[in-house]
Amino acid sequence: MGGRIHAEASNFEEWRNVSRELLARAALPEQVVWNEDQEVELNLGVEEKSKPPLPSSGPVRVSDEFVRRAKGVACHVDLDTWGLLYRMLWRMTRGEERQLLRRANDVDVRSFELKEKAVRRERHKMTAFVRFRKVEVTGEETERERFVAWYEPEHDVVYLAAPFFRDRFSSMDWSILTPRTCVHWDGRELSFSEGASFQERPDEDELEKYWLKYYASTFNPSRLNISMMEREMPRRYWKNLPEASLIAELSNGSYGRSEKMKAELEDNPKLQGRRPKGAPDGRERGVIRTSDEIRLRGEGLTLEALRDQAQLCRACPLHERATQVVFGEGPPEAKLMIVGEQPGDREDLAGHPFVGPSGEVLASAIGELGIDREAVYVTNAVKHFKWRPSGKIRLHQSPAPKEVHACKPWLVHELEQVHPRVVLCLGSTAAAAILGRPVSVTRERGLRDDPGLPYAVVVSYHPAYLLRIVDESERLRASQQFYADLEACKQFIDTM
Amino acid sequence: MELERKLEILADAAKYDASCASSGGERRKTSAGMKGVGSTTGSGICHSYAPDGRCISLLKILLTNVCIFDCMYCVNRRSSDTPRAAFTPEEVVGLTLDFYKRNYIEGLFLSSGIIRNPDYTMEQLVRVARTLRVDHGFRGYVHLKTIPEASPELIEEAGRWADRLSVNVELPTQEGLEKLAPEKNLRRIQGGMARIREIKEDDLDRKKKANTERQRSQVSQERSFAPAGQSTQMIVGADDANDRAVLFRADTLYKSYQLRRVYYSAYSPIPHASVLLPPKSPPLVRENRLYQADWLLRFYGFSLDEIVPKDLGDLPLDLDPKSAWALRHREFFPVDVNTASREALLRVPGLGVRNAERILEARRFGKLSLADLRRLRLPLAKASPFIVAADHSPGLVELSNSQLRVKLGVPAEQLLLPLSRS
Repeated sequence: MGGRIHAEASNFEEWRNVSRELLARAALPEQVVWNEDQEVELNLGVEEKSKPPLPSSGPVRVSDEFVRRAKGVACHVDLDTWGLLYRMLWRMTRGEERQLLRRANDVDVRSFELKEKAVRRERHKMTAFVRFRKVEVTGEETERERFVAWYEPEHDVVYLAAPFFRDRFSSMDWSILTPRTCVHWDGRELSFSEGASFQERPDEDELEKYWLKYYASTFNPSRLNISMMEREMPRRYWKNLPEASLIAELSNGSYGRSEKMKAELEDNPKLQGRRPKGAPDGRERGVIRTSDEIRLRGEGLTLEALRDQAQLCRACPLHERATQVVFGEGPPEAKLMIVGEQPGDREDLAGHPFVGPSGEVLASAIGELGIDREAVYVTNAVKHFKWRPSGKIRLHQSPAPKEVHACKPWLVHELEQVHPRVVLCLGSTAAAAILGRPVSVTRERGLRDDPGLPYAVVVSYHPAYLLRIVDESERLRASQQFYADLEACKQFIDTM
Repeated sequence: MELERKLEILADAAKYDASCASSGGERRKTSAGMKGVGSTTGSGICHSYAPDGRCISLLKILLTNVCIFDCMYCVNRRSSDTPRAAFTPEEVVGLTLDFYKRNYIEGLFLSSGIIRNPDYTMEQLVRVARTLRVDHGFRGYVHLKTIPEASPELIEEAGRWADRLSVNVELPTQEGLEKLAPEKNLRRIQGGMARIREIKEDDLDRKKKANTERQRSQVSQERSFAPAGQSTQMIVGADDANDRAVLFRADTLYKSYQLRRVYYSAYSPIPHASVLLPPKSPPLVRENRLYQADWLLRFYGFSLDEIVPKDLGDLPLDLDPKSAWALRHREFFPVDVNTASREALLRVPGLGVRNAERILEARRFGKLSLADLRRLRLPLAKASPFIVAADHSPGLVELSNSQLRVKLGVPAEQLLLPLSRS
């Protein structure tokens, strides 16, 4: 093994310059002794004079990622940091382990990550726990306020944290004093200076009394959890946090005790149960729990009254996960009633039928065919949105026959109030609800001549189906049929 | 009344809202030469911690604790004898700026008792946020409580100034609300959340559709609607709703209204509480279990039925919900860390999202042994009975469920059978 080589670094730039040189000399990591004078004189062995530099083997290239992360790690105060960084640099360049950083189970990488984490945490805590105090600016005339903080970070993270304070407080003048490094902002640029001493910390700020009052009042004594507090705000930070002076009293319950004792009054029962003007009523009165109730309660009601009643419907479990009932819309004298399957995601939010993508298809078809919008009533066979979770969104689910059945009396009431001449059923659910039997849309498309109904029935595709067809020619064919079916409905509006 | 006294009353009145998050918004900063103050980094900062262990990130206060509602679990209900106070909007603005410039807070979380009517109250909240943003160029974080009965125009304006909006559902069922909060209504609450989602999506849509250069520069200058989305809170243990009901509501709200967070707040007994309320808090660990289950629902690919089967109703208190699932599904294990999918790794007790990703990355360089896993800092005491590694297999001695429970951290005394009563 070669002789020992002494190297010095106190910040990242110095380490980088020295390390470049060391690599060029092909100095093995185990040969290099960093900042020896600070280290305990132990097992350094007999020192040899270092060998003359070896020929360099080209420029040193490491990933930007390593440089970026090493800059952070370099703020760590531990004495072995420089040696670790050099060893990793060696392994990534001379050792051909370019992907070293990806090996989280490697001893050096683990140590690197732990230091990185400690530095990152310390930087973060600095952005959290610095407490500025306002100081009077004497002498010059200025509108800018000046603030000063005294802070003692464990690692030298002032350079890392300074941009945070610049980006947040650029309209104020401020300084953060720490034992190793100080940083100042004058509205134009950051400047750094040598460490300061505790004696230079700013005087008290009178606003701190409000902050202390806030800290004490936002604390919930019934949930005392000191260990959790100490984990996130360890004691070593307390001496520079004004609010920490209250922790002892707050924790043992002595804070403000005398004041709290006298505040024992009675509730005012007169104010209970009497709703003041302006307060809404939250209770659901007259909830509907069965199909029979829908039948009875809806008898003879106007569309408006039906719509209100329907909001109280719990005849099937779909209401549990839906925002609201999406009732039919349109004039009571509409000649065409269009019945879809059920509201979708957008309809559920808006409370109106056919406002989503299917609604757009339907609206443009109605427009193109020149059907008078005032002559159309649109509704659905099922009035609540049925869905299942899929990742972060709601995915449409077809209603089960029993849900269609439970909801049907609402549709019957709508038909009775509207008296349409023709009913257009979009999709098999709607067709089944109207015709009272299972229907295959592809086989029974178009005008149906089922007897016994006081209105004509046209069966067509649901617009959502048209949107789903991938094959271009197939989609074109289905669209044409859809338009033809609407055209058939139009005859009933126009001729009678 | 002195400002200090108002602050005392109105911070005390606001502290039962668990949320103090300042994360998830857009990034903003105050560049050199700009007027105003403030920045948001997207990840939020906890500037202090109270002795209850909770983070203090925002100035969390009520504009007033005068309220025309009579929610029994709430210290500010109209029939309560609590001392009342009201800030002026200017006082709130001043305190926010003063605290912010001293680096005490990330911003403001403003809520209010309902005064006069929902619209009047919402107007006051909006006014504070507008003053901060427009008159003072405040770029810090603002969270506004939203009253679901307020008009859509006010909700829309609130979202223009605020980073986050929240409508509190408070209890998971309409039955619970009728019993304890007769002015609140689940459908109206969900309707409010639906409106926030709609406005936010329309806003994003409009930005996406900006085609021309001029349109793009115009929309980029506009404030986004509630960039940190919406959240809600549920009080746990004030009514008799079980964990399944709580998580069912949470799951529904997450998916229906794209909520960023549901906060669970263990009911804290309040002075002079109604006889309908329990005399003491539920165990705080219940709240903790709900958060764990919430995480499983959102990030671990578990369904509600897997976390709380219909016949269970409540999460076990002595075991985290993932471990409880693992004990009910022994057939799923062991999982081989050298071959298993991300989804399977996420089901191993003790392994988090980050752990799973570290395993996937590290195993590309060779088979992982227990020593490797230790260096990856995995919680092996918990995970080892459920995994196979290059030099490890738990299958040699079939571990009994009771032994596994010990490994998973259930205190031994809880394993003792109750003494027979006969």
